Amino acid sequence: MFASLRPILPTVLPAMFIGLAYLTFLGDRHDYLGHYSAGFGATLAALAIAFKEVPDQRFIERVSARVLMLTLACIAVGAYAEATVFNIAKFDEVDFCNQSLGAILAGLGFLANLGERKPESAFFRFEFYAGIIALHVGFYFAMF
Amino acid sequence: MICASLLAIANLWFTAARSMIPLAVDAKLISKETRPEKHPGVDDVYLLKLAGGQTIQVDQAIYDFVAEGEQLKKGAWSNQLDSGSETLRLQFSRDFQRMLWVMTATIAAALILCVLTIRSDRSPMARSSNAPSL
Repeated sequence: MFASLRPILPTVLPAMFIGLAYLTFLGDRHDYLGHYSAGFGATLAALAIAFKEVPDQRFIERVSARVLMLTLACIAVGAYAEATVFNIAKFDEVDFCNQSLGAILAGLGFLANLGERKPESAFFRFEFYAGIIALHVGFYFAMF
Repeated sequence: MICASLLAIANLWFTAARSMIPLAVDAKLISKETRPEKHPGVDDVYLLKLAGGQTIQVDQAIYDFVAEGEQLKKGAWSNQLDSGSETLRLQFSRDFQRMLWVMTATIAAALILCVLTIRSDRSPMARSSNAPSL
């Protein structure tokens, strides 16, 4: 099982390191960690779902540009959420930056895993699971 | 990498601005308002509404110091805030000081991921269009 997780380590390990930094330096503000983790998790899950269905022969074509576009779209959705559903006191610019940084790390981490061919379906499955776990972690730290 | 850097800088700016140190202010304080957030007492939002329509978010120490109806005055990047006849020595919040560390680590992580992305094996055709602008 751990051998199966190895392909997603470049995505997960840097993100966990940054999450640990948030917890260490800004532990009393765990809403910051929550927004970061939620931004990372939601974006990673979206990337896994979107790119799993791309045909093998077209996968590598302009993959960076497509990952960039989807990541920016996720950031835009996050901005909308912060302005509406999570607009409790006001649109918090720091929360938006933290969740967007999470999204960026998800995009970069996803890209760092890609080689010259489309990965096996297990890669996308594990990236999706990692994203969902991070999203739940984010929700926990942001809300409680 | 560009997006990550811009977001990190923006994050630090917004956190720093709540100390009022980077801001220039010369206006009467019309009203103060506290808006509770998800964690009362921890992430509450402290707002100052100034004459002229500007509303700024500040750290709690500033919020507690200033009084409605007083003239607030400070220069950009000055660490002294005058509120009427009183003066408050400003300092960057603990949030900002610690955010510096976290943002530095985040930029470092983004840089490492960019290097990994550039070095990862791709076809020559795709490599020409794959520049990590994230």
